[in-house]
Amino acid sequence: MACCILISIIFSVVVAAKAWLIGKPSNQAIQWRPQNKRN
Amino acid sequence: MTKIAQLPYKSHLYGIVTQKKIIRLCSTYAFIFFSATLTLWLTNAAQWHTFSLGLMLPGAGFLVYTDLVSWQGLLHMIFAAASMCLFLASLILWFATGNVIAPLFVWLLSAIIAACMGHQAFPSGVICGGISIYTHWLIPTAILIAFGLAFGFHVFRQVIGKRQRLQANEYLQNTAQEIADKFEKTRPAEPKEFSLDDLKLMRFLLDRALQPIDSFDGFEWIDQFQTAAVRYQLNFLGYALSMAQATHLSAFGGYLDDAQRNLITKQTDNRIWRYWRLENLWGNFRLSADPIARDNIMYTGFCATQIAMFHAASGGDFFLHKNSFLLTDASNNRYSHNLESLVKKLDSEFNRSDYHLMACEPNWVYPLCNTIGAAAMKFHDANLWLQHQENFTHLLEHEFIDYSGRLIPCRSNYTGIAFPNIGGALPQALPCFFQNATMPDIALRQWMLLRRSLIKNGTLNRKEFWPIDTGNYGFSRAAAYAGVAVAAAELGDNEIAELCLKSLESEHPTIEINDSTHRPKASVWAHALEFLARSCIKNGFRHIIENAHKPRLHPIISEVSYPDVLVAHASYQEGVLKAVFYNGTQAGLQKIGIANLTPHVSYFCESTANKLVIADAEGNAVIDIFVDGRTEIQVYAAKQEQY
Repeated sequence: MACCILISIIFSVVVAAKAWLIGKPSNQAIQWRPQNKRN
Repeated sequence: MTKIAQLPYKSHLYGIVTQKKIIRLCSTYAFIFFSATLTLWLTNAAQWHTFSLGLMLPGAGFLVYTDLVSWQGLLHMIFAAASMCLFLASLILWFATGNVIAPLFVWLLSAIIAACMGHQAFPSGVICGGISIYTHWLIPTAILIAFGLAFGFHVFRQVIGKRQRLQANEYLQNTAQEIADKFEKTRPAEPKEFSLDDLKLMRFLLDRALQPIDSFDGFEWIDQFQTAAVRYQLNFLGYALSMAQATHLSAFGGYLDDAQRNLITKQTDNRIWRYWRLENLWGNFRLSADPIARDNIMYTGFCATQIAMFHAASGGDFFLHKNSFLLTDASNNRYSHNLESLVKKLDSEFNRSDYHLMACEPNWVYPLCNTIGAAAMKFHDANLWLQHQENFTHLLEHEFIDYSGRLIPCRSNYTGIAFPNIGGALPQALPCFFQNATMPDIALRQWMLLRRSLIKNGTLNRKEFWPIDTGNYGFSRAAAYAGVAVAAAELGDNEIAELCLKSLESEHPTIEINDSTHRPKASVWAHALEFLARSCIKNGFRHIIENAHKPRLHPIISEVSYPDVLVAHASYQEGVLKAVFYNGTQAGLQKIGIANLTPHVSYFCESTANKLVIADAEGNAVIDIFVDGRTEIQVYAAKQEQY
């Protein structure tokens, strides 16, 4: 019970921080090329 | 001939500052341990027994009710193990994000929960295979034995360490000096020219830098706390482009200036620095979101050096202006900064720190980050750096370098505890690159010590190159090869630099899409490191930092269309502006803008459609040139008379 509470607290904090801090995950960042010429 | 510095005499495993902090930590624990032991022996209440054991060791309170014959006993054992695992996780969180509350919270909470579980009877001992083990004797005794072993290991390390230091100094004096003497002749006299392959890699950087300021396409968004953070991608893209400008493109502004300025301005985007509000809260117990106000050299120092390199390479002073580095948070609070205020903050934080080195995450001090920040200070105000140099160097040498001469990655400012020396060659190599600007003798010494392990029988010792890319936490040696090549190039060790770049190419061959190349699995950060290595020449970074605020007054290529025209070389020497272009798209006629000419003077342009141009009243001119493959031009005054 105690561990469940502890794990829940830490997990919630990590998930909340992650959701807030990470803009958009990208698996294709390296392959990205601009579609148009520079503005 | 540069004489390699020796490692200074070291009488103890830890420096004086670290010793004090570790003694303070041990004393605090000893006080808790003996108070808990007394409580354990002097009271009969089960709750106090449990709580006391829980204070001695995270999760130990649960061990009081542990046995191997009942499911309740087994459950308590699981609770104890889970608490210890959680405590380890909280230590990782503390290291990764500066969250100093997490370990204390987990430790104390597990002790309280174990004590409050409401058991009616206090068992006489843990029943294990018919044998009863008394936890109130077992746990304190085990802790004392563990401390005894740790102390023994400490003494052993000290004895072995002294021998390692003698061996290292002997190597530095003899073998290393001979190798280093060969580095001396490697700085080229003529400005260098990029190959077409280099330019295709450069496009990887320019494409990301030249998109609109609030766009971050092509960047890796993984986390904003540790090494994959976008701010580091921006930093190193900027460092690489500045190095390229300083060593190959000293007479080119245009989109190269724009790209560097954009990368610095992107750092002011709230998504990049809002991590600090959390870190400041759980590490410093402060509410301020301003990432420059305290600690955080990983932002302040890195951005200051990015600006310093941009100013040095481009001859500009844009980020000296008021509000030029303006941060606005989600609540519309504004924090106005510029290079001057960043360096002032470095100055005050160096002075405030016990280590004379500023913390990154709250209370974690990284020597690498501090050598990066120190370079910005030296660039902006060499006299200010001179005031810090002695203390900075002394504490770096005595608190952050171990007996064998390896740099300690980071140390806790609260406890003196150091993070283990992991990561292979890269975390040892990168500091050499940055140190070369502020303490070149130490940089060379550290490089020579590292070099011992890099080569085996004339080939790279692959084991030293960690298979984890710190730029995206993926499995690849790309960042390790590229990062070591960066340091090798700066120190003039062309042999290692070439071996690293060859290994990079053979293990992670490039892929070309739309005339731009990338290496699969390598992070954006690794690509930036590679281009930094390809751009760097011997003492390239040192020259940039020592080239403080010299405006670019000579003629330059000021306007070129990107990506239609790629610039492989641009220099001005003895009255001649020389440039080499490649077509980035289709071959064709291109307009090239030139600035800083003498107004109304006519200039002769070799290899261009219009052989003779006249500078306008502002010293600008535009020439037409057919760019098809490697295309070289030379521009020089046709005659001195004015029109």
